[in-house]
Amino acid sequence: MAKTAGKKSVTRTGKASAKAPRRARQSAAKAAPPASQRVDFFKLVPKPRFVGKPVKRKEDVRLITGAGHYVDDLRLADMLHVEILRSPHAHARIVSMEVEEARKASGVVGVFAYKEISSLCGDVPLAHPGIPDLKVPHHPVLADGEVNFVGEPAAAVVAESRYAARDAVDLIRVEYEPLPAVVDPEKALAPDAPKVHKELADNLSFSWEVKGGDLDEAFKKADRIIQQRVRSQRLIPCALETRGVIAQYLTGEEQLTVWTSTQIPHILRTQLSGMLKLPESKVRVVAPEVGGGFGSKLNVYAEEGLLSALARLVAPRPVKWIETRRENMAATTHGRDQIGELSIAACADGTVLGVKHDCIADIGAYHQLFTAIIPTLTGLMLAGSYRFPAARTTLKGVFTNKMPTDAYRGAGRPEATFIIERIMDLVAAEFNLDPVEVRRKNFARKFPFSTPTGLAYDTGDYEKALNQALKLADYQGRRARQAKARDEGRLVGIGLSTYVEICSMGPSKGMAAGGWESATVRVSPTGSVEVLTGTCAHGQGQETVFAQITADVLGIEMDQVKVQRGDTGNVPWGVGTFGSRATAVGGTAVFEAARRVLEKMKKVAAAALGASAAQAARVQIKNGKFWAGKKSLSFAEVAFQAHRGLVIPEGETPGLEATYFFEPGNFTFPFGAHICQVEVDRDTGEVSIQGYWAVDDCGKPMNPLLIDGQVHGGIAQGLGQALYEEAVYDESGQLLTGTLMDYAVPKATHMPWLHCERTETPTDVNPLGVKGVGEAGTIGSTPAIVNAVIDALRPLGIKHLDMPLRPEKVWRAIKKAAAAP
Amino acid sequence: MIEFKGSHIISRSRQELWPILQDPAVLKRCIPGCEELVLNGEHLYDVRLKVGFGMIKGSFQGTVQLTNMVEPERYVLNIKAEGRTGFAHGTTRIQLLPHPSPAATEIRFESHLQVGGMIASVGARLCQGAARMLAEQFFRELEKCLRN
Amino acid sequence: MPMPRSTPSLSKKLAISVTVNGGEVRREVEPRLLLLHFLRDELGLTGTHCGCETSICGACTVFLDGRAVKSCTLLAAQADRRQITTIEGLAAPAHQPGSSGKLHPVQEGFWECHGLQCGFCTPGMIISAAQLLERAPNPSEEEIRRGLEGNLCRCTGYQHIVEAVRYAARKLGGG
Repeated sequence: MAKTAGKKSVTRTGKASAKAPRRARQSAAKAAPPASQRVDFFKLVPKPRFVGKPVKRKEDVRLITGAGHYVDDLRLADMLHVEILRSPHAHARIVSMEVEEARKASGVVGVFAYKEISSLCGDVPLAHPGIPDLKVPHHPVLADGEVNFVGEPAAAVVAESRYAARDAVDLIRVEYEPLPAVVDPEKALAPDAPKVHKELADNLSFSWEVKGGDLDEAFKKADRIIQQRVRSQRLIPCALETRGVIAQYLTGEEQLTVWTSTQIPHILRTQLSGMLKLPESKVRVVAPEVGGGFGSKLNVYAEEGLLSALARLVAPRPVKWIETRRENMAATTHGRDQIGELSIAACADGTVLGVKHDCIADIGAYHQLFTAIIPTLTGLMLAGSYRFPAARTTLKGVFTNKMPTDAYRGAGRPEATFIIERIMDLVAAEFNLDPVEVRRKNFARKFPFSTPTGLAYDTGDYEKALNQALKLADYQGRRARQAKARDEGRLVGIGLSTYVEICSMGPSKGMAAGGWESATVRVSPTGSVEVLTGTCAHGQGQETVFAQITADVLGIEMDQVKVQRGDTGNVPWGVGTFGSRATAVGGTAVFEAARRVLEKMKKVAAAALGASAAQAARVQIKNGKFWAGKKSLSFAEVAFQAHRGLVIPEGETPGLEATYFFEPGNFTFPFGAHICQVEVDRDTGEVSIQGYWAVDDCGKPMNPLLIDGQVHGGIAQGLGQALYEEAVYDESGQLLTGTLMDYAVPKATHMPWLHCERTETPTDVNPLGVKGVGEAGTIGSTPAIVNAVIDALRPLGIKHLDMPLRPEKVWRAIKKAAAAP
Repeated sequence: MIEFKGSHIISRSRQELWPILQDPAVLKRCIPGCEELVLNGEHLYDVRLKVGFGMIKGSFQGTVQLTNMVEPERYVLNIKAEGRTGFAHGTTRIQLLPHPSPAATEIRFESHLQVGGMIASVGARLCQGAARMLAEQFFRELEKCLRN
Repeated sequence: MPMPRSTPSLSKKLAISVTVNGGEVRREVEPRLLLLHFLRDELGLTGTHCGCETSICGACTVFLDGRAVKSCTLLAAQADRRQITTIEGLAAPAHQPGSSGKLHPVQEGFWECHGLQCGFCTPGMIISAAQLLERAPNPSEEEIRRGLEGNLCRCTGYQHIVEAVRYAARKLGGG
């Protein structure tokens, strides 16, 4: 995720000032790479055969036949199995732990607790967010005398089989002394609140602020100040594949290999090297097939360090741990969990002048990789697609005895979008205006656009997307029919959101781990093409998209291209797949590497064909052949010549491969308009979605089929947050939504038919013109759905409800409204 | 947190009931799923229970201690139990109230139990109902005991 | 729960004989061994996935005597003398040497319509969709959604899956 708060951390413009760290300020014009020196994809390939087409995915055949290999599908010789004893308490001191019985159990190789592991593996790390005075507690991979959330690892059993390991876990006797648990983040800030970490002064991990513009002026000029408290509830990412790790240490070779279900193999390798005190050269991380992540595998987990340490203890036997779903719900990072107090300065004509946002983020018991950074993104994106001149977010990150929060699809932006899109509707309701008109009134229209929070939006046309969505949804007709339905006493509501988000993370000055991406394009002597990418797809379809790009650049078939990812053993350093960055940043790296290979192939072809200097300057590829004058060589022949080494052109070396590290000059800012119609059942409070229309703009589309897939899936997760999902802890810190029986992931029957269209506003940040689309659906949908439900309830005088809008909550609100005088 | 309360009328006087409710043999028979219950100190019992909450079944080991005893009116059960599927600890207040009909007692109970582990994350929805059911079972068995 | 616990009375192994993807296999298994783990660990058929251990997500769905069942909540012993078809046996994979190169129409539909992203739910989803089409050769959108209610997908939002099933229905001659 973007490092947002450090020195030189964010591309900013304008008069913004952040109280906490000083920021790099740069004009939007400077942020974009100089377009003059750049070769754009569509200039090089004016008529692409693959890019822009709804190409079927290359990765699918193995997946639809059950032949793909996720971590749990890998079997190594002599493999041992690990099961983990986890805390049943939200907060407790470990008085004693008896492991002898477990150690003696059949099939058990060893039982390990903190004291056996601590010398081999250090604390779980975090990406330094650059927030001064950030309090970071000791976060061991196995509990060090104290447990701080339900599900925290306390001991590990290594055994010959998974069943034997599981049996032995039950034989470990732990005496816990329960300590008072801190569950409510607001109560956690009270001076007399119990402390999550006894070594820290209180439960406040950090404070942070971002502001810009003249707030006093805005609030002075406003016709009305609207106050509202909004909450983005805690969510559980629930990737269908749980986490899993296999680790093996070969003593002779001094080589640790870790197979793990991750979105960031390279970052993980660097961090593991630090935790284990092994140089990176001795650590190889492999992400095999990854069954979904949504941010929850954008992390460095205790279990990844633990398994690596165990692998060294039982070397050379490999150890394997596969997370159960219950463990996944309790001990894989959660998302969202922010409470915002809003003050909105608004004029009677719907113009918003300024917004104050005081946010409390419940970060759980520890810092995971990007825990502190996620809520800062909410503050940065608070302006949304609007041009109000003044904004301020104050943020308090608070420890509680719960699983840490971190990135979950959208990561900070769904919260910001929910806030600003609710604000637009609150303003519309306050002055009895059409929410569409309020949005039009406030839209940013000139690009690059500088926000009061210091970002520079690259390109956009918010009104165009809105107009297309209104047409697609027949908004006018729908409003007329809604009026009729209301006359009949029906609770019909129409909601919209006109979001903008921050994507293609990102420029390195905004990213703790660097924001570039790498790619290698390598052609073998027989002309087969390998693309190695530092991104790490887990469902997005980058194998397909990167093959599309490469095949178009090199003038070959997609079948000739094999895209490899996820193995630090063969991929040059990479950053990973998250923040809708893979195509915009990683795809650009592929394009640039392929372009360099192409240039070299042209030179080799010219040399091999004995072309004149004039002909050499104009080598063309036609029908898969390189033409210099009237002579031609096939793609494979050129590849062979490059390796044969006899006709290497002046100034070149043999071989045929190029590696490119692409550094984007700025983030990209995709946008769109989502419209939703719902009807609420007055008697049961149940919300039924009657229609959903989305117009998204992700810049130049690379593969429309895959874009639709991303948008649909995103909307499903946004709908889940709006209507169903919530991680619930009871007052003693017990997780009550510990299985998929209790945590409501949307099913096929919960989803309406989604009518999706696109506008195309290319970005100038990269030569593909791509902005990113992985999170758009999630960001756009939640507020559209909630706005629709609140619109339906407006005749009852209901102005706001917190998510999720489950029937019981809506029903209670309806009853309460009916009982009100 | 499981909180539940209720009452039950037993056709015995308070004075008669008081020792019965502390008799390990009786308790072992009446407590649903009780496999072992032995007196291990003053008003302190070691117990082993096998209980099922819906799909979660497990065996629990722990102690029950009686405190705040005011014969024959009231006492408090302090419960601490742990098992593979989680833990439960908390208190149950027991009140023995005279009933209008002679030689009968109204037993009122009020429980505050904190549960954790799998029983909390999987069985939370079922706990309240299950606890109530277990209490009913206890009194049914107690009546059976008294009849014999 | 994920792994049934061992008890002394259940530690004696049972001999079972199961027909899996057309071939008979005989094994001695612990009585507590889940069918899912039997398929994956004993037989190496890792296309059947474990997503929730509580028969909610459906990633472990296989055919047992022609009926789609969730293998995470069945014991291997319960499959004794019965027929199982897993994703690997639904059609011969195109990329395996010597195979007929054919996909089952439902598999084809998932490929054509981008009915999968991470692919983890996909084998179970395909088995359930195949079952659905056996029961209702020309299903409406609502019937498809209801028919797949026992299978969770976190990636696709289900719309392309609905289209994939419609594609397969047409291909099978129902639609």
